[in-house]
Amino acid sequence: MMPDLTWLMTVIRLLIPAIIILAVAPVGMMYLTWLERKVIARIQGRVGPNRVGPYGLLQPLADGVKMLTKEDLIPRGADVLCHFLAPILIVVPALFLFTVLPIGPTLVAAPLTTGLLFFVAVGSVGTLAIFAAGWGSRNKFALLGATRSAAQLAAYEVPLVLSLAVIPLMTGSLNMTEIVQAQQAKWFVFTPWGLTGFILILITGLAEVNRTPFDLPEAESEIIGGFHTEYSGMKFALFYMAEFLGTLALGMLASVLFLGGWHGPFLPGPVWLLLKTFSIIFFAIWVRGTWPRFRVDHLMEFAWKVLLPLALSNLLGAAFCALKGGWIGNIVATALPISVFLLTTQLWLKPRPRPTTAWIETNSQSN
Amino acid sequence: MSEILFRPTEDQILEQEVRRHVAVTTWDKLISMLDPVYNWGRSNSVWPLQFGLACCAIEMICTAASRFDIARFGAELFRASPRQADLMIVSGTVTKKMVPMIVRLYNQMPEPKYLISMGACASAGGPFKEGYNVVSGIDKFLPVDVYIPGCPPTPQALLNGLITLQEKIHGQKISTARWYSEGPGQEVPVPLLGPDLIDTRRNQEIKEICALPEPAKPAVLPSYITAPKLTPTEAEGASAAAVALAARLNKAVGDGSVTLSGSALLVTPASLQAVASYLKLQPDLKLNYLTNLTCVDYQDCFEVVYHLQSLPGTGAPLALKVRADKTDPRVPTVMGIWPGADFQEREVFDMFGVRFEGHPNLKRILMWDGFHGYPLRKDYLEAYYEAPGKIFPSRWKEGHHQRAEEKARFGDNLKYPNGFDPALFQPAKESFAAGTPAVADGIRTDDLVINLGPQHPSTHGVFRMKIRVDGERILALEPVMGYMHRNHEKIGERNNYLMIFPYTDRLDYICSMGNNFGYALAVEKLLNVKPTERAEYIRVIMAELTRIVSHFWAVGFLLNDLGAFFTPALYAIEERELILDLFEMASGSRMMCNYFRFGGVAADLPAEFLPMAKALVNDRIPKAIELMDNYLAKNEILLNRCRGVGVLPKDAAIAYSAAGPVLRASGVSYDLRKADPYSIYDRFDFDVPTAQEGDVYARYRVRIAEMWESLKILRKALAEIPAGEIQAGKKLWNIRVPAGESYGRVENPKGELGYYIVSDGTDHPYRYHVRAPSFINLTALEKMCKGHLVADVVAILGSIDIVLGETDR
Amino acid sequence: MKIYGLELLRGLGITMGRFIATYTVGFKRTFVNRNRGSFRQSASEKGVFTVQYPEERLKPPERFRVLPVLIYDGKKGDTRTQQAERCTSCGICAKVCPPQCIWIVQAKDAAGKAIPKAAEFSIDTDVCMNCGFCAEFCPFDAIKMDHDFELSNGERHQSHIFDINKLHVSTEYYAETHPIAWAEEQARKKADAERKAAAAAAAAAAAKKAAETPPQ
Repeated sequence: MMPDLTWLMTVIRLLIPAIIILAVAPVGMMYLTWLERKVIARIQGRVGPNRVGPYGLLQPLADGVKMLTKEDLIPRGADVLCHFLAPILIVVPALFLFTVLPIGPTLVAAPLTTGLLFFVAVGSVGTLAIFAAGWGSRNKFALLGATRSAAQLAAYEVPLVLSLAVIPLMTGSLNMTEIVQAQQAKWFVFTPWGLTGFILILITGLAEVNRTPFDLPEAESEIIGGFHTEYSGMKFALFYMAEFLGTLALGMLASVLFLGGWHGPFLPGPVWLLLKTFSIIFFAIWVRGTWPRFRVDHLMEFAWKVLLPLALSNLLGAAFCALKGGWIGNIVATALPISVFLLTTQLWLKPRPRPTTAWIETNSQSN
Repeated sequence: MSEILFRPTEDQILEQEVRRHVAVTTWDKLISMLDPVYNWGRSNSVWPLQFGLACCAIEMICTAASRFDIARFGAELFRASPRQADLMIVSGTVTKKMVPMIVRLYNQMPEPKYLISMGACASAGGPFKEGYNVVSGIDKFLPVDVYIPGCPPTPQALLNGLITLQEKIHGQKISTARWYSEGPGQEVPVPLLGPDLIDTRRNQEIKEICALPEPAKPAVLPSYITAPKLTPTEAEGASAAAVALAARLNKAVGDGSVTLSGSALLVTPASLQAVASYLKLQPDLKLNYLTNLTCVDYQDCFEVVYHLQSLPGTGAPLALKVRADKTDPRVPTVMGIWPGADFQEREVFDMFGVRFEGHPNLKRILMWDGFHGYPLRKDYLEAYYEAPGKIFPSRWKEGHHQRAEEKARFGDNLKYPNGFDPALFQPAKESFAAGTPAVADGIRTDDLVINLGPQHPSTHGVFRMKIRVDGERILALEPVMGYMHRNHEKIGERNNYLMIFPYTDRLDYICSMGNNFGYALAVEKLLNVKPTERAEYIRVIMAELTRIVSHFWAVGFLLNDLGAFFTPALYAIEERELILDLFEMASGSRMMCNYFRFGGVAADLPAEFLPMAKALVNDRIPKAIELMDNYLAKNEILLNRCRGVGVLPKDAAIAYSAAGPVLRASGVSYDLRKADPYSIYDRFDFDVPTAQEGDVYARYRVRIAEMWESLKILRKALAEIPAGEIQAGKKLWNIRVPAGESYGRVENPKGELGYYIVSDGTDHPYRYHVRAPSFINLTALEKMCKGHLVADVVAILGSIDIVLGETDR
Repeated sequence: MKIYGLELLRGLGITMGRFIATYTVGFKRTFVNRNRGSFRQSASEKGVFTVQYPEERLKPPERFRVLPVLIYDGKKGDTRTQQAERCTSCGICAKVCPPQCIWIVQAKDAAGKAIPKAAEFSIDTDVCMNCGFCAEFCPFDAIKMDHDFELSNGERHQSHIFDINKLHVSTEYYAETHPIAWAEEQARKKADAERKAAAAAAAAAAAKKAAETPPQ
């Protein structure tokens, strides 16, 4: 009699996608770095890496070999547990994010009913890791970077979640596969509430993965390396990897939630998903090559005073749309976020010049 | 069984049999199979450290820019943290004050690490080798992998050096790699700053040499002249206006306080402050601007020289002098009247030892506290001293090459007091005004003291700021400079007049033509020589092209400091590269032009110069400025970060001796080209852009506007340039300059660049001082930054636009 | 009322424009003349601005100066004789050099008398500031500034002091790298020679005339 091996089948059925993710995600991340370097180079009028392999395609491999073989340093007096755990704590959740993203109708590693919730919850673990890195390094710059990042990530979590909240409102489900199937007829980005939601998730997503214009925690031109100043070799590679994995996951999330996932004519589903992800990532790289970065107080202002009202008003508009439907619903859903945006930016975001101070001290010898 | 395979046995036969028939390979061969992959990975992914010292660093940045693109080699990721970098490119002069930081940085880099010594200065001290603050090459402390000769090496030469490094890496083996064979933590000991630089590895040797009797003094010592004689009446040479002013001052302040020396007022130290306030406060005089403050070491006294102006106004400055006793020189401070005297008085104290009574913070500013000696005094002889002035007799007719280290007492550029024992030396602890912890809502908060620099991506060179922050808000800021102090003025006293030209190139290394210009004007005043018409036009063309180049660089890097990831900087550098092509065509070098001569310029413009210059000025540059302006001028993020940040009020700008765009952005419409015209600027029609707000954004707008005005001047000059000679008289390789003093100045892109020269009638200057706008513009930095955030400090510093070669000279 | 964000979008438009331009403008360049060798960029350069060293190079202008070289009259392959060396060891270059990086030993003949040649000539390239004064003021066109910048290596104590053998190059090499200056030099020498010949002829004619006139 054959022993009951269904448990083994289950395990294998879970392991294979996990192994695929573990194999493919880092490779994707490596080529994302290649893409970033080439696109930014072209924006700046130069060519980017092109000597290491044709068109520089072997460049990420060389970077990988180099980073693997660098000496590992731990600063004296550092909090060893924090310092050691931080890179792991930041990469593992980033890898988890890919388990709930569906590539095709049945191609998903973990078909959770609460996939979206899982994504948001696991994605926010990175905040802890960044703070642990900054705290455990025993370096003033790292500490500055860690405090900045803690503030930033906490602040941008709120508009992110709220902007994602329209999806279960309109589809009635947190299951990623069902969300994509609900876009069979029309992608959500073509609806007024979906468009606002898409723009919001792009902006808050950039903030969550610490990319320009929100890359304050690692602002090179001010605080050297921010939270990862004291990391070298493979540990630094893990931080690097987490940032790019986050970007990749953000791109896939936005494509799945708003751009219709694997829907599209002619080409197979996964290829469409890849193209959509790629276009979002291209946008992120394009923004990196163009805009200056926010200052920390402006960052906070922007999150709380502009994005939060916008997300709330979008939610309200979507609810109205769901209730009323038809063209009234669409008009309200368009007008409400736009008016809220204009109101908040005019009220709170105009640059306020400080009044000129006179600081020549008066004393008996000067006027 | 496996143990037998890998552990040497005593049984030779068994060993042999195993090797021949069982073991597939030896440990060494196995490792060497990994060598190609290991070396390939390392050599194609060399990440340099964002570390640059001086002029060579500018060429390094240009190598990373779009024309030469070091990214093709995989090396464009310049990491700011040494923990993540593989390569340190020592680009620029290694000074004694900076070398402890460099060694510390090198120690912080993880293995495998490499070091490229870029340029003559980093290799062996370069042209500044003879200076008292210069280390004769970084290989005195750190192991160098590749040397790149040149001064500065062009970006293509740096790429050639990188390829050499890659070839070197390919030749390495894991089994013999330094970092795998040594024990852990082989750090280079950090040198200490005592009476001179102390390399702790040589402690015993230094002690022994110091214990020996002092060597005999050199055969020829520098000679003194006496201070200029008094000329109280018109008969003796004073002007009528000066005599009248002296009489008036004597009446107001007290008889005998003021007399005349040439056309300068000579004031007694006791009455200096009273005279100074009188000059400042009298409504018809209103001398509210201290242009320059320096000192001259005469045989009988130290003469402190002040140049004063009334702003806004026109004309040459009024000179005021104070003579201090030789043995114990003391002069009252004028900081209470002109706050801009702050750093300049500290510099005079540092270089001459003159104490300014009443100065709140009289510490050394260029050298470090604890340095032994006052370097610019005539009796201070540097370690490599050979003769009071070049031409050194050892070079010809029996010129056998000998390195300066071989002749020096300590085998290096070092001097210690007699009987010094370096092992007993304790470096003083650095302190920064202890703040009282704040208590808010019952919670005690601590301040943090952080260091920005001297290695920092945004400090435009080796500049350090000690900042006390509360969270992110600045409570106090102290600038520390001198890390690029290359002893320009002392070397100037050893040089003859012509030789100083290439050294002036290296002051503000981005504006070398402008530096040449100021120096040429100062000496031509003494020589009483007027350049030819064509030479004047060429000078103006070069100076205005330099202004465009400098402002492009400043604007591009300001935007870079604000976080716009290098893109606007690269657009700016692209245009700069084309203008540098013009400079290279005419003078032979992109940056170190050495193009001006007394009475004209070195060589005539080549045939392809004018067409390319016209094409650039009429088509390309206007479009480029338009693009830069459109790209970011009204960008919302930028406006929020620049408006209202770093405000310098109008009165403060004048009082703190600010100059250039910093002054004009605070509402003072003062430009030397209009106020005290030199060369042929009075023939050109241009405006002086001024802004009222005095913040970072205003300075940005003023620079963009100045670029447009420069284009106006260039268009006219290129159209009207006459044919003719480019040199008045014969070009001589050594000249004697008549005795006297002169202060020649130009409106350089950073501000007023002035040269104060005292000539004793020989072919060497007696005193040579550079009035550096970058140095003096920093006087107001602390006040501008208080209350702002750390991110703003970087923006404010970028908007002042400093170059360390000029700040520290 | 200014809408927040429009300028940000304009910035994005500008960079996208540059991005596309690097592909469209450089299209022909990329596929037709891939390797441009050694060239100069003009004021109308668009698209990718990179000069891909070492396959492509920026051609240096003639006056470009790196390190000095000494000139001897002859062709590239010739053995150099002391006779062909132009340097007369007058020492002006050593005297005018700002960092004093030139050391010259004047040559002596068999009897110990000084001759106008250099026995030793050393330049410390780790002190040289590439200023070009030595070339500018040499009265004999014997020392000139060279273009070679590919000098990086791994050690400096032996190889960075250039001695008289390393410094010498032939006039053929100099004429190739500095054609305009060479042409000017030849023209100047020709004009000088003609002027001297005319003066000598005039002096000879005057002397002849003086000889023919009977003494008074």
